[in-house]
Formats: sequence, C-alpha cells, structure tokens
Amino acid sequence: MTQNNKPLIRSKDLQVNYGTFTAIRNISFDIDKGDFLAVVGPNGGGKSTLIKTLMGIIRPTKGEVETESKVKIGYVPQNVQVRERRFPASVEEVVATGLLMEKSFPKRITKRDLERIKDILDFLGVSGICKKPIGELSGGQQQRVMLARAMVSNPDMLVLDEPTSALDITMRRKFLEMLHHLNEAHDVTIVLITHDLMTASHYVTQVVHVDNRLLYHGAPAKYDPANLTIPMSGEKESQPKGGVVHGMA
Amino acid sequence: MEWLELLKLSFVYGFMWRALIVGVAVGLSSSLIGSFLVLNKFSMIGHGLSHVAFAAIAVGLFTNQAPLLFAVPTVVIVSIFILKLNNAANLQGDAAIGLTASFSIALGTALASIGDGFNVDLFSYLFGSILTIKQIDVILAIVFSFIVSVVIWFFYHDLFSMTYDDEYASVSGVKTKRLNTLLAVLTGLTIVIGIRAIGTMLISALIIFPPIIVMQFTRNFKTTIFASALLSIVLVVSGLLSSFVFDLPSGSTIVLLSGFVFFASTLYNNVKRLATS
Ligand SMILES: Nc1ncnc2c1ncn2[C@@H]1O[C@H](COP(=O)(O)OP(=O)(O)OP(=O)(O)O)[C@@H](O)[C@H]1O
Ligand SMILES: [Mg+2]
Repeated sequence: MTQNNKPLIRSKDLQVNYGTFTAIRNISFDIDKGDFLAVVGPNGGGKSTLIKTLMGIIRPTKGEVETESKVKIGYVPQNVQVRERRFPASVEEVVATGLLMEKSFPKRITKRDLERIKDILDFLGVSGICKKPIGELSGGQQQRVMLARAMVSNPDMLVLDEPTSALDITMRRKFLEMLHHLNEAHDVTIVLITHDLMTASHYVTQVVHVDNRLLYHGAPAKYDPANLTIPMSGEKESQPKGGVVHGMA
Repeated sequence: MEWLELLKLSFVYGFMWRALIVGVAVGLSSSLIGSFLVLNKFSMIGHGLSHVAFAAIAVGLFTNQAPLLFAVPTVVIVSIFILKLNNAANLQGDAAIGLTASFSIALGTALASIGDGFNVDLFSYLFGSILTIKQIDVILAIVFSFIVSVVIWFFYHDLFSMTYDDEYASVSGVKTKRLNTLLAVLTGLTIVIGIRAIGTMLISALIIFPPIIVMQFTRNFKTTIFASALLSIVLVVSGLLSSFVFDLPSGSTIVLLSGFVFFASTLYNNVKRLATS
C-alpha cells in the first residue's frame, strides 16, 4: 500500500528546549503515508515532546517540521484523566470537537454529526454515555472517548500517546487490531507511543526509539533495545534515564 | 410603601430603564465570556482589565475627556498587551495581570489625588451608580453586548474545543492564539459596558459568579452557558432594583447578592452530597 511520494511529516534536525533543559535533540526522520510507527523509549525520553512538535503543538527550538498540507490528524493525548473532574462538558460535546477540523466557518454541529458521534462511541464499546459528564467516566471510558474524538472525523493519520494505558487486556488487543485494520484496509497512517511494543509488534512497520536523541529508526524485526547506538559523547546527558519498559501490563 | 412609589418614579424618570437595559447587556456578555474564562483558568484577566479601566477613567476625568470612550480603546489595547506580555516575558500564569492591575491602580489613584476635584465622581465609577447612566452608555452597552454575543455564537465550538483541550484544538486547526486574543478583547468590551452599572472594582465578580454557581449543577457546556446567562441577568436586574430601594451602590448590591447565591448553592450542593452518600 505504501507509496513513496512525499512523506506526510518530515522532521529535520529537531531540538526542543524547555527553558535550559534540552528534551530532544538532533532528530531527523520521515513518516510516510501508510506507516504504522511505534515510538518507544524510557519515561522522560521525549516521546510526547517529539510527537507534539511533529503536530505543531510545540515549536521546535531548532530544526524544522514539514507537514503535507492536507493531512487530517486525529490525536489522542497522554494523561487524559488528569483533567478536572467537574468540567461541565458532556461526552457528546467533547467528541464533537473532533469534527471541527472538517468544518468551515461558521462551524456548526448537525444532527448527522451527532449520529456519527453515537456510532463511533458504539464502535468503541461505550454506548449510551453521550449525555454523561466527561468527568464522571472511569479512566478507561475516558480514554475511549478520547479515541472517539480522534477517530470521528476519519483522519488520514492517527497519533496516539499511550492510548491503551487505561484499557483492559481484551480492549487493548481489540484496539491494536482495530488500528491494524485502519492501517491495512484504509491506509491510515498510525503513530503510536507505547511502552508495550511486545503486543504491538505484529502490526508495527517502523520503530522509533527516542531517548533525548533518536537511537533507532527502522523495522521492528531489527530493533534490539539492549543494543542501541550509544549517542556520541562530547555532550553529557542531562539526566540519568531508565531502560525501556517492556510488556507493561 | 414609600419605596414602591420611588421605584415607580424611577421608571417614570427613565433612569431605571436605562439601568436595566445596561444591566441586562452586561449580565449577558459577562456570563457568556465568563463561562470560557473560568474554565480556561483565565478569569483573572477580567480582574486585571477592570483595574485598567479604572486608570483609564481616571485619565479621562483628569483630562476632561469622555471617560468611557477613552476607556474602550485603552482596555482593548491593554487586553492584547497582557497576552503578549505573558508570552514574551515568559511570566508565570497571571503575573502579567498582577503587574498591570497594580500599575493601573497606582496611576489612577495618583491622578485622583492630583486632580482632587473628581473624587466623588470616581466613587461612582468604582462601585457603580445607576443614576449616572446616560444614553450614550445605553447605546454602548447594546452595541457591545451584541458584538460579544454574535462573536461567541460564531466561534462557540472553537472556543469550547480550546477551553476543553487547547493542544487538541490546535491540532484540529483551531487558531488558539487568535481565539485567546479575541476572548481578551471581548472581556475588555464587557468590562467597559459594566463600569457604569457595576463599577470597575466589582465588574470582574460578575464574570466569575454566574458560571461557577451554575457549574455546580450542570452536566454539559451548552446548559452551563445558557443557565449562567439567565442567572446573571436575574442577579443584575434584582441587584439594580434593590440597590435603588436600599440606596446602596448598584455594583455592591449585585455582587453581594451573587455572593449570597453562591454561598447558598454551595451549601445546598454539599448538604445534598452528604445526604446521598
Ligand atoms: N512542559 C514542560 N516543561 C518543562 N519540561 C518538560 C515539559 N514537558 C516535558 N518536559 C521534560 O522533557 C522531558 C521529556 O518529556 P516527555 O513528556 O516528552 O517524555 P516522554 O518520553 O513522553 O515520557 P513518558 O513515557 O513518561 O510519557 C522530561 O524530562 C520532562 O521532564
Ligand atoms: Mg509522554
């Protein structure tokens, strides 16, 4: 399926600083249409920072990101549950924000849109919660609602930051199969940050390992977390980092 | 029943009508933007801008310009300035607002003490006075509240998306920087129309009270915004009427009333929660 035209997203020598701290540096790679990319690395390694930069949420301190102009991105952020319990918004209202990218001014939500929202929630196994306040859901339910928001507009590309951390095992497997299906059958490009590469490895076509720098980019078969290229010395690492966590339940 | 006669007269003389029209306009726009500001954790911008309005009024009185007309551009420009300052100077949270607020108060009070002729007038700008509302204030209030309502209606979904999750909003093409600026400007306009009826010191309370009162009960955002608009209008109108009856500053009466309703609703909510758990 993969056509090698222009990449969807190309990053060139990215560096992102938070104040004086450099979260990621010297990162260059392409995401091509049809890729199923797994982004792995230790906690604090800069995975979230990297994808936020690729999507334009964070402006890089150095380097640049080129994005294919018409690509429609669905995004599932990390840590959805930390949002306020008492936020007065219904599930339906939150999922509806996923449709805004395909609307033009003045943006309105139609009856038809509400049906699509209901359908995607049904599909993700959380029926009948449309009118519930978002803060009254369990962590897993909230995560599915965030997925619904990302998927409701049928995006060309899904960027998911540990989307399965609050899902139960069955749902996690089902979810990966669903991503695989979207990737295979609908040519949806997938970028998945995960600490559980084991479960995902059957479906993934590319692996990126970030720990401040890009330590691996290539096929999952050749990926060996125990034998990564050590970054050239000269600049000392600003923080001690843990190893890659595998098979986290 | 002497006050009833007075109240009747207040309508006959027309100033109560003017006050009520301005009150409804202010109540409507402050609650509309308030719902977004409170949830964006940005409600302090109202507080900051109201202090700026105070300084602008003082400058206007000092230089014998029409104070409100002078306040409009000043507040709008400063609202944008506060946002830029926040980004540029790398200030934490509401530090930019704090700086601007205290600087404005300093400027306003300095001018007030130099030109000590206008101290009495200034008091009515601080805490609201329905007797001072003129026709130009009524027109300003109608026009600005119309602008605020229409803009909110047009950008409702974008504003909601940004309020719920600004990072997601920016990925889905919502221009969050521009929207924030828009929100700050609308806040400025609302504050200016609220100066007469509620006063610069108290107008920011009207941005905060109605939304936080109704949010204790509502389960979605659309209800929240409608209910707080309704509550806000009720609070302002009853506050204005009772300020006249009890001969109190109108702003003080409205805010006291809001505080009381907030206290009562919080109490009710907590008692109910205790009872059901
Ligand atoms: N907004 C921020 N301000 C300052 N430092 C930050 C900010 N966000 C992240 N960092 C720092 O940047 C580094 C990378 O963070 P990031 O969230 O990208 O890591 P991650 O790989 O996603 O980690 P995790 O697996 O825990 O999600 C960390 O050291 C973190 O402390
Ligand atoms: Mg992360």
